[in-house]
Amino acid sequence: MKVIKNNIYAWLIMAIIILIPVLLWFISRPVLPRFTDLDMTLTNIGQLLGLIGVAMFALSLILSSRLHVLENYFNGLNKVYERHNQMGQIAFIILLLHPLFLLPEYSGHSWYQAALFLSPTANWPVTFGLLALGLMIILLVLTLYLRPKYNLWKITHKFLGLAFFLALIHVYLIPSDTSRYLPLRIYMLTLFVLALLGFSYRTLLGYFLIKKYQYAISKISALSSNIVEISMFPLKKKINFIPGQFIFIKFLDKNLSKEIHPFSISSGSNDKNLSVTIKALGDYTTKVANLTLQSGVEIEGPFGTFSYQKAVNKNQIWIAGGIGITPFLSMARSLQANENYQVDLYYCIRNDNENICKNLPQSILSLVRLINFYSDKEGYINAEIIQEKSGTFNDKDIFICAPPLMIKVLKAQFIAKGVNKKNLHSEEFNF
Amino acid sequence: MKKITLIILVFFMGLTVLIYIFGFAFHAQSANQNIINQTPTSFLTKKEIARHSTENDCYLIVNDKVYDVTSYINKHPGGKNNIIKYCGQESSKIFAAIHSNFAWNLLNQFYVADLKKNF
Repeated sequence: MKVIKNNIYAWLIMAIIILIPVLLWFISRPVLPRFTDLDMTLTNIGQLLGLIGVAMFALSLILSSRLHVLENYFNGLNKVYERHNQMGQIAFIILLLHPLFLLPEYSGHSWYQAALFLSPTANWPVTFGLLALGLMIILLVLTLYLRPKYNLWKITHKFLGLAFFLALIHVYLIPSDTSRYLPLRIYMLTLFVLALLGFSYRTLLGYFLIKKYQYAISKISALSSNIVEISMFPLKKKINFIPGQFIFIKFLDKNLSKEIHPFSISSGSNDKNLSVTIKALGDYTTKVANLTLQSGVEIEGPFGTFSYQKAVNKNQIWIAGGIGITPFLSMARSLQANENYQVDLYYCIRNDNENICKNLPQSILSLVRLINFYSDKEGYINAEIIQEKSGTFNDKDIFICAPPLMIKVLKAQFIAKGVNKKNLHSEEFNF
Repeated sequence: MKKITLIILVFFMGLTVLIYIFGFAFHAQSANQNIINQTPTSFLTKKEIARHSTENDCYLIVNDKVYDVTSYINKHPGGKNNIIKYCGQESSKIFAAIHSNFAWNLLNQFYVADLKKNF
C-alpha cells in the first residue's frame, strides 16, 4: 500500500514540476492576444512546447542521479531508470516539435528564412538551441537505435549533460516570456540548477560524493560451464543490504576493463563474505572468470526493493528464469527458520546442465521448496502449472526475476487468475 | 515508445532537409534571377514616410531603407507599442541596439523602398 502511495506521489510531483512553468507562462501576460491568428497560435504553442520539453529534460537528468530516495518513490532503481528513459524520450519528441511550431512566424512564410532559422548563424541565442537539439538527436539515436558497446555508450550518454547545458543557455538568452517574466525565470533557473546538480553528482563529482565500499576477491567458483560465483571480503566497512538487492561493481583487476555493471547479490545478508553470481553473456562477463584472487573491487549500493521482506504475506512463490536465480539465492540464504516463511521456488532453466542449485545445503532446502523446471522437457512454465503445484494464489505474494518477456507473460497470467497487482513483484534484468 | 520517437525524428529530419533544399538551393536561383531582371529601386522622402505613422499603416526607416511593418506589429516579441512609437520615423539606432541578425533578416521581407535623401 505504501509502495502504491509513494508511486502516486512521485507521478504527482513530476506532473506539478512540468505544469508550473505552463501556469506561469499563462499568467505572464494576457492569454487571448497570444492566439489571435494562426501564426501567433503556432508560435505560442511552440514556446510552451519548449518550456515543457526543457522541464522534462531536467526531470530526466534528476532521475538519472541514482539517488536512493528516488528508489522509494518508484519502487526500485530499475523502475527509476524506466521513468528516466520515458521522460527523456517524451522530452526529445516535444523539443523536436518546438522549432517546427515556431517556423511559420519566424520564417515569415519564406523558405529561405525558414532555412536560416534552422541553421546555426551568428544569432547565438537561437544557435545554442540548435546545437543542443542537434547533440540530443545524435546521442538519442545512439542510445535508442544504434546502441554501441556498453562502455562506449555510457561515455557518450553523459554528453546529454552538455546538450542540457546548451539548452539552458538558449532559454536564458532568447527573448521570450522566460526572459521577461521574473517568476518564470526564477523557476526555470531553479529547475536547471537541480538538474545540473543531479547530473554532476553522478558524473563530475561522483568520485568525491558517491559512497563506495572497498572489497577484495576471496574466491572464484565455477558453478557451471558459463556461470561463476565471485566471493569478496570487505577491506574496510561491510555493506549492509536486504536480500534481493543488487549492487554496482567495478573490478579493479588490470585484466578486466574498469566498466561498472549491476549484479544481484547472491550471498545471505548475514554472511561474512559478499557474493555475486555472474553468467557469461557478453564481452565483459565472459572475462570475469579470469579475475585474480585478492584483486580489488569497488562497490556502490545497495539498490533495489525486490525482497521477500517487503511482502505482506509469508506464503510466497518465487520464480527464477535462468540467471534470475541470483536474488533468490540471497533470499534463501537469509531466511530464518523462526520467521515461518512458506516458500516455493521455481527455478526455470533449459535443462539439468544449467542447474546451479544442485548443491544447495539442506539448511536452505528445509526452508524453501525448490522446484526445478526444465523447459527442454516440460516447455515454458505458466501460471496454470504453478497453481497445480503450489495451490491457490490467495494470500500469497509472488516474486519473479527473469527476462522481461517471461515476466510480462507470467504477470498477465497471474492477473487473469485474480492475483492482485500489489502481490506481484518483479525484477527485470535489462539495465 | 521507441517507434513513435523514430517516426517523429524521421519526420523532423525530412522536413528540415526539405526546408534546406527549398530555402538555400532555390534562394540562390532566385537571387541570380533578380540580378538578371534588374528590378528598379523606388524612393520615398521623409515627408512621404511620415504619413505612414499609425498602428494600421506603419513605415520605419532603418539604415536609409524603408520598411512597411504594419502586418508585423502584433507579432513583435517586444510588444506592439515599442514599434508604434517609431512609425513614420527614423529608427536605425534603436533597431541596431537591440535586434539580432535573425531580426535583421526578417526585416528584409518588409522592404518597400530606399530613403530619398536631402528632403
